[in-house]
Amino acid sequence: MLQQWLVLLIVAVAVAYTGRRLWRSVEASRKKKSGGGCGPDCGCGE
Amino acid sequence: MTSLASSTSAVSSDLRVALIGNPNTGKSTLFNALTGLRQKVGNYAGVTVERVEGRYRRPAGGEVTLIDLPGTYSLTALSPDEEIALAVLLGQEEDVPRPDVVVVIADALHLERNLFLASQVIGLGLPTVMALNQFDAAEAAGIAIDVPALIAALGIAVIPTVATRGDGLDALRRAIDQARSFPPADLRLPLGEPITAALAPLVAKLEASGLEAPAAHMQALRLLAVPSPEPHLRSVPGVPEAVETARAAVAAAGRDPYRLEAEVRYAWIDEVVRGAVARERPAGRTMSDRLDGVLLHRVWGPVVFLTLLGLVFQAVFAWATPLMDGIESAVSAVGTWVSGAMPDGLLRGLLVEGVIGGAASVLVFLPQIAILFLLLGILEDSGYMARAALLMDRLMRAVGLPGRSVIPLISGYACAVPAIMSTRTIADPKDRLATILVLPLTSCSARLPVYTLLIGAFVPATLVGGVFDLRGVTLFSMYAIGTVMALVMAWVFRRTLLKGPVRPLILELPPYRLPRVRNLLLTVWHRVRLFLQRAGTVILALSVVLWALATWPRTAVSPELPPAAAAEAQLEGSALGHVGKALEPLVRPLGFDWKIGVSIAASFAAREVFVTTMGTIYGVSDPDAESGSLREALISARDPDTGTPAYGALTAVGLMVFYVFALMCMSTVAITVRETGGGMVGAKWAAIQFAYMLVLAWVAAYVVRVVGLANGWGV
Repeated sequence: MLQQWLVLLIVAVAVAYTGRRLWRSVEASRKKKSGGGCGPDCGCGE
Repeated sequence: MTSLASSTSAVSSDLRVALIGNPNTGKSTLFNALTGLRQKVGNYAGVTVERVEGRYRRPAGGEVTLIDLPGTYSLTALSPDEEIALAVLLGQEEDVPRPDVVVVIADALHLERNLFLASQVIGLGLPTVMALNQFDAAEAAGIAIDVPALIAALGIAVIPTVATRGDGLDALRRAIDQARSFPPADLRLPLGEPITAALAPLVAKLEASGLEAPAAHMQALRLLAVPSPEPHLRSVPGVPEAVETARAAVAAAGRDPYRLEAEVRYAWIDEVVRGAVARERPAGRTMSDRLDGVLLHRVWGPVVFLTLLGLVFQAVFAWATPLMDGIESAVSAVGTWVSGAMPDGLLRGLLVEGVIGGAASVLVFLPQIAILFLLLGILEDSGYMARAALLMDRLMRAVGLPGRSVIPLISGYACAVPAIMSTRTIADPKDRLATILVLPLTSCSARLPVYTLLIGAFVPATLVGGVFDLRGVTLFSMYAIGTVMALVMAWVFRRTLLKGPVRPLILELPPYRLPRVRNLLLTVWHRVRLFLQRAGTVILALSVVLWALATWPRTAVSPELPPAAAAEAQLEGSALGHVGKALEPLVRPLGFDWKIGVSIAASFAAREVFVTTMGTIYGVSDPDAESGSLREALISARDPDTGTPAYGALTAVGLMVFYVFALMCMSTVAITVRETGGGMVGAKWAAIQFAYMLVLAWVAAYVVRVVGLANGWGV
């Protein structure tokens, strides 16, 4: 039972993280100029 | 050196300092050397396109904030980069306070050209210091610069530097420290009586708006050349009208108002250079010139270029294989160990099938990414990449793309996101839009795991022409067809939606030099770190989510079924299975099954997720396969209906071609929306880009399938 809750917690964190990434992409597309938009992993220095 | 070297600072508190210079003057290197921040150091124009700040302690206490402005040839404000640079220097850029001091970095080898921007910056009236960089290279080339004469002509401190070695940096820091206490430079270019009179009303208006006399003089000349004044000047009553009146008066005096600034500045620059620069020997053919004779030759240039690229892609496979095998064995060993150490259950499934089978499976491609960027780094650092850009420029102009598109397109081989941002150096909006629309067709590093997984599994290591490995040739072909299609689509866009004239590339060719090991290692480390960061964050999170989708809902499976068949039935009944089955009709004509279909859809978050999704699916569908590699799992996969191999070379090539063309990247879509205007306008261009690339991808993969089947290439 504990194992099941632990797995559900990990999946929930992963879903939340993925959702946050998606939201950041949408947010970034709204901004103009100055930085943002690519996250820390795309090599753009943000 | 100047007397500054021994003096101390008298000015206290924190300083904001803007660093500005022509592209390829060593600006980023100087920025790194002063602040200690790491940033990619390029060998060709246009690397710095973003606002970058760094800090260092002042010698006399307090802190200096250094703003690295985009590399630009002038402050004429015709391109977005020039606009940003000018706005920062005028204190008009949002959230960026006006700098206290400006450092103009000038290339001692090409002082004449660099003085154009320098004279504009000095004319703005801010305390200014010049870093005369690559001073050693100028001396070696027989160029003697009389620094005191230059100081007298410019009216500012001039510090010779060699940023790569750190020479002159202490003197530069001291000069920055003291710049505000120097007498302000008054650089008013000699115009002659009729032109001075023609500009007088405009200069008076600008002075009335709050500008100092030298700055008003500089702005008056500059405004004649720009299509319309910037918003802060446009809003000053009478300025737009005064610009028009001044243009008419200049024209009446027999001069072209749009060319006046360039003519006047270059006449002044000629004077300065005559007084301060001496060539100690006539400029003859250097080693760089002789190499360029071959490497930029109309015939030999492209031959050498293609051969070098062929060797790079071959090396990616040849050198990486032992390292990849090692990582693959290590990942498999960890999977086997976890399977043995943990009791059967959900947590073990998550770790073995989701984390190890999914996210960890992309780590196998780390050596290939490191080797590719090491080799590209050598080409860039040696000065060859600028020549490659020049070779490509001929192709660019043929299809209607501006010369300035070359650098962003080459950057696209690393990642489309910063490459799209670097299109800000392109002044014309239509040129820029055309470049952005075709840029994701160049194969970025995120496609590499997909290509190498499929090539490694289905393309034999046979020799082509007795020299090249077929796997390397296949990989090269993927990059080549993406590039060719980018040019074709540019040609289409420039003749339909985005018609306009073509502008040539003006690119300074740096001298050839031996690549610096430290710089190469930094470049490789930068790419490796980014890849590991992606693997450890977004790819890991998506692997867990995909594992959950492949695990739930649970399906009632007959206990009589063998374990592999039961797992397959469970997978088909899961949420991922249902999505995959729904997508299958769309991809079936391409020879792809539902597993590939759902992996393609998931990879919209990041292309590497294709590999992790397949890893998770094959981990879940075959619980005994955790000790084997994904490559082996794909080779041994069987069609559940026929029992024949599920995938082969034809499927692999079709899938790779699909990935060459399809815009499977959420970040690129977001950045396209932003950089093409944002809001509905940006969304429209991003939708056009996504749609045309998806159609291209589908049609191309279909053609591969049809041609392959007709020629009996198997599955």
